[in-house]
Amino acid sequence: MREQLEGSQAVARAVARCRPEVVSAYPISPQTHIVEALSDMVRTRELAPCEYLLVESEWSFQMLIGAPIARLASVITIGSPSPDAL
Amino acid sequence: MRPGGRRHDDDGVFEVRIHGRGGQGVVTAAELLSVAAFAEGKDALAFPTFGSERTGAPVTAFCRISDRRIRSHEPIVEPDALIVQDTTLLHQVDLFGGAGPDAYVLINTGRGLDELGLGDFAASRFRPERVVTVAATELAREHLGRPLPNAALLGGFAALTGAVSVESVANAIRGRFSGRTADGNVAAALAAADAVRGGSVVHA
Repeated sequence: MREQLEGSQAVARAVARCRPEVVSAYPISPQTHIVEALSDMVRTRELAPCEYLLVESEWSFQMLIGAPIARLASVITIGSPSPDAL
Repeated sequence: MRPGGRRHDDDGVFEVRIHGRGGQGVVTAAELLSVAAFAEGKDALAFPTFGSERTGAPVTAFCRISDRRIRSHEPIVEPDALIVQDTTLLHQVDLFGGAGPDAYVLINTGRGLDELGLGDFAASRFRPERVVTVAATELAREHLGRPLPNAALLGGFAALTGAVSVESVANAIRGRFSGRTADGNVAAALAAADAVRGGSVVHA
Protein backbone atom coordinates (compact mmCIF):
# COMPACT_ATOMS: atom_id res chain seq x y z
CA MET A 1 0.00 0.00 0.00
CA ARG A 2 1.26 3.41 -0.88
CA GLU A 3 1.65 5.88 1.91
CA GLN A 4 2.36 9.56 1.71
CA LEU A 5 5.03 10.71 4.11
CA GLU A 6 6.79 13.90 4.92
CA GLY A 7 10.40 13.39 3.91
CA SER A 8 11.58 14.07 7.43
CA GLN A 9 9.34 11.32 8.78
CA ALA A 10 10.79 8.91 6.24
CA VAL A 11 14.30 9.83 7.35
CA ALA A 12 13.35 9.34 10.99
CA ARG A 13 11.92 5.90 10.26
CA ALA A 14 15.04 4.94 8.35
CA VAL A 15 17.20 6.09 11.23
CA ALA A 16 15.10 4.13 13.70
CA ARG A 17 15.53 0.97 11.62
CA CYS A 18 19.27 1.33 12.11
CA ARG A 19 18.52 0.86 15.83
CA PRO A 20 20.75 3.58 17.24
CA GLU A 21 21.40 3.34 20.96
CA VAL A 22 22.08 7.04 21.27
CA VAL A 23 20.47 9.89 19.37
CA SER A 24 22.26 13.17 19.81
CA ALA A 25 20.48 15.97 18.06
CA TYR A 26 18.92 19.38 18.29
CA PRO A 27 16.07 20.96 16.39
CA ILE A 28 16.98 23.45 13.70
CA SER A 29 15.88 23.70 10.07
CA PRO A 30 15.89 21.65 8.02
CA GLN A 31 16.18 18.79 10.51
CA THR A 32 13.58 19.83 13.07
CA HIS A 33 10.91 17.32 12.10
CA ILE A 34 13.42 14.46 11.92
CA VAL A 35 14.60 15.26 15.42
CA GLU A 36 11.07 15.61 16.76
CA ALA A 37 10.03 12.29 15.28
CA LEU A 38 13.03 10.47 16.73
CA SER A 39 12.44 12.12 20.07
CA ASP A 40 8.85 10.82 20.02
CA MET A 41 10.02 7.32 19.11
CA VAL A 42 12.43 7.27 22.04
CA ARG A 43 9.81 8.66 24.41
CA THR A 44 7.23 6.06 23.42
CA ARG A 45 9.91 3.34 23.41
CA GLU A 46 9.11 2.52 19.80
CA LEU A 47 12.86 3.01 19.51
CA ALA A 48 14.43 1.16 22.41
CA PRO A 49 16.84 0.72 23.97
CA CYS A 50 17.90 4.20 23.02
CA GLU A 51 18.82 7.38 24.80
CA TYR A 52 17.97 10.75 23.34
CA LEU A 53 20.47 13.48 24.12
CA LEU A 54 19.23 16.97 23.42
CA VAL A 55 22.24 19.10 22.64
CA GLU A 56 22.38 22.76 21.82
CA SER A 57 25.13 22.99 19.26
CA GLU A 58 27.49 21.19 16.96
CA TRP A 59 30.19 21.20 19.60
CA SER A 60 28.00 19.59 22.22
CA PHE A 61 27.72 16.53 20.03
CA GLN A 62 31.36 15.88 20.31
CA MET A 63 31.39 16.37 24.05
CA LEU A 64 28.42 14.12 24.66
CA ILE A 65 28.83 11.22 22.33
CA GLY A 66 32.48 10.52 22.95
CA ALA A 67 31.69 8.12 25.78
CA PRO A 68 29.01 6.11 23.94
CA ILE A 69 31.28 5.80 20.92
CA ALA A 70 34.13 4.70 23.17
CA ARG A 71 32.01 1.76 24.30
CA LEU A 72 31.06 1.05 20.67
CA ALA A 73 27.42 2.04 20.95
CA SER A 74 25.52 2.85 17.78
CA VAL A 75 25.18 6.59 17.67
CA ILE A 76 23.29 8.84 15.32
CA THR A 77 23.87 12.56 15.30
CA ILE A 78 21.76 15.01 13.38
CA GLY A 79 23.34 18.35 12.74
CA SER A 80 26.89 17.37 13.55
CA PRO A 81 29.07 19.33 11.15
CA SER A 82 31.98 17.01 10.99
CA PRO A 83 31.65 13.34 11.81
CA ASP A 84 35.29 12.98 10.93
CA ALA A 85 36.17 15.14 13.90
CA LEU A 86 34.82 12.42 16.15
CA MET B 1 -6.90 15.55 -14.33
CA ARG B 2 -7.67 19.21 -14.03
CA PRO B 3 -10.21 21.39 -15.73
CA GLY B 4 -8.39 22.73 -18.70
CA GLY B 5 -5.72 24.90 -17.19
CA ARG B 6 -2.80 25.70 -19.39
CA ARG B 7 0.12 23.39 -19.11
CA HIS B 8 3.43 25.00 -19.59
CA ASP B 9 4.78 21.68 -20.63
CA ASP B 10 2.93 18.57 -21.50
CA ASP B 11 3.96 16.52 -18.52
CA GLY B 12 0.52 16.57 -16.96
CA VAL B 13 1.75 18.05 -13.71
CA PHE B 14 -0.43 20.68 -12.07
CA GLU B 15 1.81 23.11 -10.26
CA VAL B 16 0.64 25.29 -7.41
CA ARG B 17 2.61 28.05 -5.76
CA ILE B 18 1.50 29.50 -2.45
CA HIS B 19 2.70 32.85 -1.18
CA GLY B 20 2.25 34.10 2.35
CA ARG B 21 4.04 35.08 5.48
CA GLY B 22 5.61 33.06 8.26
CA GLY B 23 2.92 31.99 10.70
CA GLN B 24 0.07 31.90 8.20
CA GLY B 25 0.34 28.20 7.48
CA VAL B 26 1.79 28.46 4.00
CA VAL B 27 3.88 25.31 4.37
CA THR B 28 0.98 23.45 5.95
CA ALA B 29 -1.33 24.53 3.13
CA ALA B 30 0.95 23.04 0.51
CA GLU B 31 1.26 19.84 2.51
CA LEU B 32 -2.49 19.54 3.07
CA LEU B 33 -3.09 20.06 -0.63
CA SER B 34 -0.66 17.27 -1.44
CA VAL B 35 -2.37 14.99 1.09
CA ALA B 36 -5.75 15.73 -0.48
CA ALA B 37 -4.43 14.93 -3.95
CA PHE B 38 -2.66 11.77 -2.79
CA ALA B 39 -5.87 10.56 -1.19
CA GLU B 40 -7.48 10.86 -4.61
CA GLY B 41 -4.92 8.48 -6.01
CA LYS B 42 -2.65 11.07 -7.54
CA ASP B 43 1.00 11.61 -7.04
CA ALA B 44 1.66 14.73 -5.03
CA LEU B 45 4.66 16.55 -3.73
CA ALA B 46 4.82 19.57 -1.44
CA PHE B 47 7.75 21.52 -0.14
CA PRO B 48 8.57 25.04 1.00
CA THR B 49 11.39 27.41 0.41
CA PHE B 50 13.39 28.25 3.47
CA GLY B 51 14.20 31.88 3.83
CA SER B 52 14.56 33.84 7.01
CA GLU B 53 12.45 31.78 9.34
CA ARG B 54 10.53 34.17 11.45
CA THR B 55 6.95 35.16 11.83
CA GLY B 56 5.92 37.60 9.14
CA ALA B 57 8.74 36.86 6.73
CA PRO B 58 7.67 36.10 3.15
CA VAL B 59 7.25 32.36 2.66
CA THR B 60 6.68 30.41 -0.53
CA ALA B 61 5.57 26.82 -0.73
CA PHE B 62 4.95 24.56 -3.70
CA CYS B 63 2.70 21.66 -4.52
CA ARG B 64 2.77 19.46 -7.59
CA ILE B 65 -0.12 17.17 -8.46
CA SER B 66 -0.03 14.59 -11.21
CA ASP B 67 -1.55 11.37 -12.41
CA ARG B 68 1.94 10.12 -13.03
CA ARG B 69 5.15 9.92 -11.10
CA ILE B 70 6.49 13.35 -10.23
CA ARG B 71 10.19 13.56 -10.81
CA SER B 72 10.85 17.26 -10.47
CA HIS B 73 11.79 18.57 -7.07
CA GLU B 74 12.56 22.02 -8.38
CA PRO B 75 10.84 25.16 -7.15
CA ILE B 76 7.83 26.02 -9.29
CA VAL B 77 8.61 28.89 -11.63
CA GLU B 78 5.68 28.54 -14.04
CA PRO B 79 2.70 27.86 -11.80
CA ASP B 80 -0.66 26.65 -13.06
CA ALA B 81 -2.23 28.14 -9.97
CA LEU B 82 -1.31 30.74 -7.40
CA ILE B 83 -2.62 31.17 -3.89
CA VAL B 84 -1.84 34.52 -2.29
CA GLN B 85 -2.41 34.38 1.44
CA ASP B 86 -1.34 37.93 2.22
CA THR B 87 -1.90 40.93 -0.03
CA THR B 88 0.77 42.96 1.75
CA LEU B 89 3.16 40.89 -0.37
CA LEU B 90 1.77 42.38 -3.56
CA HIS B 91 4.47 44.97 -3.95
CA GLN B 92 7.24 43.09 -2.21
CA VAL B 93 7.37 39.73 -3.92
CA ASP B 94 6.97 38.79 -7.58
CA LEU B 95 3.78 36.90 -6.80
CA PHE B 96 2.65 36.40 -10.38
CA GLY B 97 6.04 35.60 -11.86
CA GLY B 98 5.88 32.84 -14.44
CA ALA B 99 2.10 32.43 -14.29
CA GLY B 100 0.64 32.02 -17.76
CA PRO B 101 -2.60 33.56 -19.04
CA ASP B 102 -4.62 30.47 -18.10
CA ALA B 103 -3.32 30.28 -14.55
CA TYR B 104 -5.71 30.27 -11.64
CA VAL B 105 -5.19 32.99 -9.06
CA LEU B 106 -6.80 32.92 -5.63
CA ILE B 107 -6.18 35.93 -3.42
CA ASN B 108 -7.02 36.20 0.25
CA THR B 109 -8.69 39.54 0.71
CA GLY B 110 -11.99 41.04 1.62
CA ARG B 111 -11.36 43.81 -0.85
CA GLY B 112 -11.89 43.86 -4.58
CA LEU B 113 -9.17 43.58 -7.16
CA ASP B 114 -9.61 47.22 -8.16
CA GLU B 115 -9.18 48.26 -4.55
CA LEU B 116 -5.95 46.31 -4.49
CA GLY B 117 -4.84 48.05 -7.66
CA LEU B 118 -4.94 44.75 -9.52
CA GLY B 119 -8.06 45.16 -11.61
CA ASP B 120 -6.51 46.14 -14.92
CA PHE B 121 -3.48 43.98 -14.41
CA ALA B 122 -5.49 40.88 -13.67
CA ALA B 123 -7.96 41.49 -16.49
CA SER B 124 -5.23 41.96 -19.05
CA ARG B 125 -3.02 39.14 -17.93
CA PHE B 126 -5.34 36.34 -16.83
CA ARG B 127 -8.73 34.88 -17.64
CA PRO B 128 -11.13 36.94 -15.53
CA GLU B 129 -13.09 33.97 -14.24
CA ARG B 130 -9.89 32.43 -12.94
CA VAL B 131 -8.85 35.35 -10.79
CA VAL B 132 -10.81 35.13 -7.60
CA THR B 133 -10.67 36.74 -4.20
CA VAL B 134 -12.00 35.25 -1.02
CA ALA B 135 -11.95 36.72 2.46
CA ALA B 136 -10.22 33.69 3.93
CA THR B 137 -8.83 35.39 7.02
CA GLU B 138 -12.28 36.65 7.97
CA LEU B 139 -13.76 33.21 7.37
CA ALA B 140 -11.06 31.70 9.57
CA ARG B 141 -11.78 34.23 12.30
CA GLU B 142 -15.43 33.40 12.10
CA HIS B 143 -15.20 29.61 12.02
CA LEU B 144 -11.87 28.90 13.69
CA GLY B 145 -11.54 31.89 15.96
CA ARG B 146 -8.04 32.57 14.68
CA PRO B 147 -6.83 34.54 11.66
CA LEU B 148 -5.23 31.59 9.88
CA PRO B 149 -6.42 31.61 6.28
CA ASN B 150 -4.72 28.54 4.87
CA ALA B 151 -7.45 25.92 5.24
CA ALA B 152 -10.11 28.29 4.00
CA LEU B 153 -8.00 29.09 0.97
CA LEU B 154 -7.63 25.42 0.17
CA GLY B 155 -11.40 25.06 0.16
CA GLY B 156 -11.65 28.00 -2.18
CA PHE B 157 -8.83 26.62 -4.28
CA ALA B 158 -10.59 23.27 -4.67
CA ALA B 159 -13.79 25.02 -5.75
CA LEU B 160 -11.92 27.28 -8.17
CA THR B 161 -9.67 24.75 -9.89
CA GLY B 162 -11.19 21.33 -9.35
CA ALA B 163 -7.63 20.03 -8.99
CA VAL B 164 -8.81 18.28 -5.83
CA SER B 165 -12.26 17.96 -4.33
CA VAL B 166 -13.39 20.04 -1.40
CA GLU B 167 -14.13 16.78 0.40
CA SER B 168 -10.54 15.65 0.01
CA VAL B 169 -9.37 18.97 1.40
CA ALA B 170 -11.69 18.52 4.37
CA ASN B 171 -10.37 15.00 4.95
CA ALA B 172 -6.79 16.24 4.76
CA ILE B 173 -7.57 18.88 7.35
CA ARG B 174 -9.15 16.29 9.63
CA GLY B 175 -6.13 14.06 9.18
CA ARG B 176 -3.82 16.82 10.32
CA PHE B 177 -5.86 18.45 13.08
CA SER B 178 -8.34 17.23 15.63
CA GLY B 179 -11.23 18.50 17.68
CA ARG B 180 -12.30 22.09 17.38
CA THR B 181 -9.26 23.04 15.32
CA ALA B 182 -10.25 20.49 12.68
CA ASP B 183 -13.91 21.43 12.81
CA GLY B 184 -13.18 25.14 12.53
CA ASN B 185 -10.76 24.73 9.65
CA VAL B 186 -13.10 22.43 7.77
CA ALA B 187 -15.97 24.86 8.28
CA ALA B 188 -13.81 27.71 7.01
CA ALA B 189 -12.76 25.64 3.98
CA LEU B 190 -16.35 24.76 3.14
CA ALA B 191 -17.45 28.37 3.55
CA ALA B 192 -14.68 29.55 1.25
CA ALA B 193 -15.62 26.91 -1.31
CA ASP B 194 -19.23 28.07 -1.14
CA ALA B 195 -18.12 31.66 -1.57
CA VAL B 196 -16.09 30.80 -4.65
CA ARG B 197 -18.84 28.63 -6.14
CA GLY B 198 -21.58 31.03 -5.25
CA GLY B 199 -19.90 33.98 -6.79
CA SER B 200 -19.76 36.04 -3.63
CA VAL B 201 -16.27 36.83 -4.71
CA VAL B 202 -14.78 39.52 -6.84
CA HIS B 203 -13.62 38.66 -10.31
CA ALA B 204 -11.24 40.74 -12.30
